[in-house]
Amino acid sequence: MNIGIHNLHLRLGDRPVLSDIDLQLDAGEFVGLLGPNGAGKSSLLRCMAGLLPPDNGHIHLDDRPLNALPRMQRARQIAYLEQDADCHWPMMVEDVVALGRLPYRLATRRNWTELDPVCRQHIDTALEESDLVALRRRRVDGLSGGERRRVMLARTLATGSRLLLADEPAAGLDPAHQLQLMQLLAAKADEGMTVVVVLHDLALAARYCRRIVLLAGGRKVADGSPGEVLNPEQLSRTYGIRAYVGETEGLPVILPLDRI
Amino acid sequence: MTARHWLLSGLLFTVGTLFLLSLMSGRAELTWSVLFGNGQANAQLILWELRLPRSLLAVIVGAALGMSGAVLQGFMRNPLADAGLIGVSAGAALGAVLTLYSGLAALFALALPLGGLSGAALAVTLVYLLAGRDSSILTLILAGVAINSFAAALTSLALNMAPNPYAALEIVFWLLGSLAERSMEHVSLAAPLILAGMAMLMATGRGLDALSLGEDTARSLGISMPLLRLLVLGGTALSVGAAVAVTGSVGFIGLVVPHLLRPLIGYRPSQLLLPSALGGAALLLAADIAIRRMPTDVELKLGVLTALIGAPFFLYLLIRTRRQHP
Repeated sequence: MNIGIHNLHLRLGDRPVLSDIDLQLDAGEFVGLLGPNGAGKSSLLRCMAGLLPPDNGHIHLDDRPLNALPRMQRARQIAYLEQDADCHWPMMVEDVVALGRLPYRLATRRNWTELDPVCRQHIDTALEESDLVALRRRRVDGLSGGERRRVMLARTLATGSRLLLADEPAAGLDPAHQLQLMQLLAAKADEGMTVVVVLHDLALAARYCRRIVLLAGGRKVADGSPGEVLNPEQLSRTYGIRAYVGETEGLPVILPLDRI
Repeated sequence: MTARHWLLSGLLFTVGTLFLLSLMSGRAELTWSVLFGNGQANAQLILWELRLPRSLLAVIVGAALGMSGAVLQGFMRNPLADAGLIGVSAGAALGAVLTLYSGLAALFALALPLGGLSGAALAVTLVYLLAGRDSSILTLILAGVAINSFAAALTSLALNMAPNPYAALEIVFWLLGSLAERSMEHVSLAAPLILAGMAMLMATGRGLDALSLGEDTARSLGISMPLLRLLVLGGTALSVGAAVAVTGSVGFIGLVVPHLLRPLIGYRPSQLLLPSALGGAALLLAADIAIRRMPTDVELKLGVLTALIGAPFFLYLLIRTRRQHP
């Protein structure tokens, strides 16, 4: 699925949050949305998810205006992982993951305890991909923070959408699961899913994302391959840091050294 | 049969048993054969004119309180929520009290419940308008608390201005909540509204499930928050408004029943609705049987008993939950 954003402006109260954003993402792209705190990353993601109507500008999904898309259809095409997403009730892991199928069950009016085989399949796959099979019958309140993050990711994957918008999915994961997450998302992009993730880990973004969109002060300041965007000059301009950018074993390494 | 089916069958059986027991409870001793048309005309009169409406009301009012509690707790993601929180109970109480205060209640029998209904409708409309169409759930809770306090203040004002102690006592007694001396007229007034309200509440299940992941995620899953809010508020106003209008305030049912049943259905908000309705009906029937079987000189008011048992029980639940999740 491709998504086009044209001349997008967003204000919250008097404060301009996003200004003049133009962005064209094609199917199968794996995009890292980066930028300092308050740059407008989450707001842009929420606009793309159709949760926040922009004050100006247009968003198109496969050349159809996003706001003209019926609610349920939008829910099937876009999976959105909220920042700090969590489940309020101590439900079972597989029940939480099954919530990702709500856009389908609403239409079929099927009792959710009698999920059809397709639904079942999506849920099982999402559990496997997120390394949760062993935990599927555990209650979420007994899980660690990182395990809960994975449950939330699995919930998003279970929808089976063609566009995935994830707000800081790597936060709170241990290094092994961070790598697993990024590999999984890269594989999803290879299958044709458009993946947009907000990240703070520069090295992780440089290594896995094929495209980096850098935001600062509500504007797009850079857009390109990780090599083009994540260089010492750009990092000092946007983040105000001096950083070591190098490589080891052929993989990119970015190490923030000092604030400027 | 799934665990949920067992639970529902068990609850249904309990409600049925308690219903029969409730028909047999009261000052006059009836024998079971009365149920089959035997016995004196007096006994038949007591059964059909006095006991049956009372038992029927216990079922529908309890169901309304239980289900609305489950819906509101799911909607607000707050285990302390019940219909009181959005002003329905206080509004209905105020409306009913005003008919007592103005003497309207003495003119025709249904003035009191109709006043209560108007009060509930007005309170919920105000909460809805105050909170705004696109507001968050927190704004809704705050608006509810404000309307709730204001309605309670106006009720106190009516008590304060009561022309004589008897009028004040009448108001206080009504506020305590009771199913005694209700007729089939009350049932036929309340039942359609309660059922309509519960039908609206039943439609919230999937929305409530989605909401356990937060408002944004629920919307991203295709849930329309304005529609969900309308169903929750409208359904509660109709069902609990009609219930309170007929019985007065009966507390703690809506709070305690969902708490008790939630672990049994795996904490999924949508799965809690039907069991909570049955649980509420069972609990209210049991309480109403208890007050009639207790050897007290004056029959206890229903609301007094539910609060007397409900409050300590709720504390116990809190302490137990704290032990599990320190």
